[in-house]
Amino acid sequence: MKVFKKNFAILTILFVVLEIFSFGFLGLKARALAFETINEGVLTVGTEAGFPPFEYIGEDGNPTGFDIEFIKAVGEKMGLKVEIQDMDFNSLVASVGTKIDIAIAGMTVTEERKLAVDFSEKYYDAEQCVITRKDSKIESSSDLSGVTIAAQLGTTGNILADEIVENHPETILKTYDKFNNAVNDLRAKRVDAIILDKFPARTFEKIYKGELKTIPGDQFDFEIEKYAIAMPKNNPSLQSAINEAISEVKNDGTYDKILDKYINADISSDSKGLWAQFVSSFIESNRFVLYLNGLLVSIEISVFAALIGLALGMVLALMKIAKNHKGKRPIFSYIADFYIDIIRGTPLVLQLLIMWFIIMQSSKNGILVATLTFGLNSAAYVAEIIRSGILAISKGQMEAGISMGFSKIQTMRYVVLPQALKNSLPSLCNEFISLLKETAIVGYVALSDLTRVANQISSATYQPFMPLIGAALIYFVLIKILSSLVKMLEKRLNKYDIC
Amino acid sequence: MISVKNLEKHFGENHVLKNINCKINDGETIVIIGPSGSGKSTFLRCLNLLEAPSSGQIWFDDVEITDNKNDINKIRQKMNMVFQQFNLYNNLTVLKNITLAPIKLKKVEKKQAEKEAMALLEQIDLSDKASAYPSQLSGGQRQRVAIVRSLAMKPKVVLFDEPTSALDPEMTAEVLKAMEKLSQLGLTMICVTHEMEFAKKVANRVIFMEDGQIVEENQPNEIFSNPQSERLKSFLSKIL
Repeated sequence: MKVFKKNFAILTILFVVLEIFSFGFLGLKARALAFETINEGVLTVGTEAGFPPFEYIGEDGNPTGFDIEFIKAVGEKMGLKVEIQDMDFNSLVASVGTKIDIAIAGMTVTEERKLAVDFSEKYYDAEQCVITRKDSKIESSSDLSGVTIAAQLGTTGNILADEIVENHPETILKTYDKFNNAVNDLRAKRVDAIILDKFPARTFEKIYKGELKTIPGDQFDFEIEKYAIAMPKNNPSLQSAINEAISEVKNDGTYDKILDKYINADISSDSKGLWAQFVSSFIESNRFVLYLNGLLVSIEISVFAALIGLALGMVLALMKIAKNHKGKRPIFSYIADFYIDIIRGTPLVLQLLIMWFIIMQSSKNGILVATLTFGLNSAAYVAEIIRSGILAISKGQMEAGISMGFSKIQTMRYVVLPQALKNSLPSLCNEFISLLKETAIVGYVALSDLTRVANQISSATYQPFMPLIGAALIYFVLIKILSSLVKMLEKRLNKYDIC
Repeated sequence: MISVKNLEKHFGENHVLKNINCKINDGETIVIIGPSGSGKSTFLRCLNLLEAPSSGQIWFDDVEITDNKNDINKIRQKMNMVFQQFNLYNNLTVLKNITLAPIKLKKVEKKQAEKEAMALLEQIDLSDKASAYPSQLSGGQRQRVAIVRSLAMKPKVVLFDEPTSALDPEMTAEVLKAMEKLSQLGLTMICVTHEMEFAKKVANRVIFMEDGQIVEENQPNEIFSNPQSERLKSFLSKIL
């Protein structure tokens, strides 16, 4: 009966997860005023909190910055509560209208983006700059020919860089997820110039005083960029409501206050020693709490995904080894094969993006989508582990069961599967450990797991490596503990080895 | 009780059983002998459909078990098998090995099933091993447990597939002793073995198989002292 109860518990969890899943699909959009928002009375705003001072993770662990405070003021004028969702910059445009109402992320109006979204009136003029090493001879656009340039993926700098490469085919372009990484590579001479926004450029120049310099964009004929809010196409009532609110915020002086607070303030960052870097990465503003929260997200996703993976993996394994009375494999056995092939034959990060943007497009619950994706993925690997566990059990066990009058399924349940699971236990634990590491990609669906927290802090503190090393250490310690437990388990199993 | 008609079995190219016909009566102890590869074990395994016959029919108590419509699982409850490799359930204790089928299949109360199992273990002097796992038993002990596991289902027939071949002589003796007791109790037994002394002493009838065919069948003293066919004569001359 014990086995049955355990199975039942797993099933219950599965059902609950499915319930939430289907609710996500059916969740109806509420109607409000002249335009609709995804959640009634709430303006859901997407951003990428890795672009200080416009948006970054503040001391309380929530996104803050010029854009954030600005959009909150705009929302207030519209009579809506503003909810910020931090996600990957590359996902923002695709998410507008489905996952989020609007996006504000220091986003420049471009013709390309206009194909996918509409924009509000501009709220900020930004200037793109070039930063290079102090000794660099790059001064104008023709100097960029034949060198290696860098930009953050999906940013205006990226678009300018693409144009440069078009005009100078010998120029090599490297794109980065984070400015920090690009700056690090600039210092390491892997790239020669980075195209980025004026403000972060100035900040980096200050931090690496004597090492880097900023060259104004007009020397490269960069046009002034207009930052605007991205919103769904063909929604004039939303557009006019936002534009009205923007001009109100500008007219009543709120805008200037925010501008002074974030943009015109003196930049205090300076190059720091190791200890100071450590303090600002982990201790200052209680940042270690953010790492812990991130770790919890990673663990939560891994644990529930492992449960889904175990339950579904067991089913898949049984489907795969099934044979009919003629000794042939039934159709569902091939279906299981096909499923396992697909899952193992495609990158996990693509599965996650497909799940988030296509299959579960109407769900806003990133944890749910990630848990389901990782569970479905893990199931394929668990299935193979359990299958080989079953095949390792001698044929005599099955024969003994059925010659006693048990059906094959009963024998599987009472005799073969318990032994197979016990033998596979160490491999299953190892699968869980790799699952935990693989969750490091959930930043793609706007979740703040340990890896993404490290990235956010890296951006907020302009520290390229300390937060990343910290996160790596946390993963390492956790996984070391888990794998030592697995080793102990293995030893115990061997000690009481049966047969 | 069991009758076999025109039974054939092919393993791919191999023609393993050729037109087997035989009848087995209630309470009989049948011993099947023959050289290795003669199809003895395959024949035995066909009787409870562990191997699916290629053609032919098998009846058990007037139910045709080779007919897919009949539930083979129900029939196997009355026709158990004891294996050369014992095949005790490795994940269960001795007691649970014995009680699993009565509890799950015949819905016997757990307490009742355990009482009966302990009584059976008593008979084979293994009641002190009730909570041991199979890996903690010797081969002879395992095989004796396998036999009582089978008896716990109160079967009509028990098929023995070379039950002593994996045992040393001492353990062989203890297992054969247990089997002899069973035959005296009137259980129908069909036994593939190389133990000729056992055949002489216990069998009601001996079947000699060679090359997938039943060559000769008779009472044991006739088989051993008055073999008819040349093939049986040459087989006996080699082993005796």
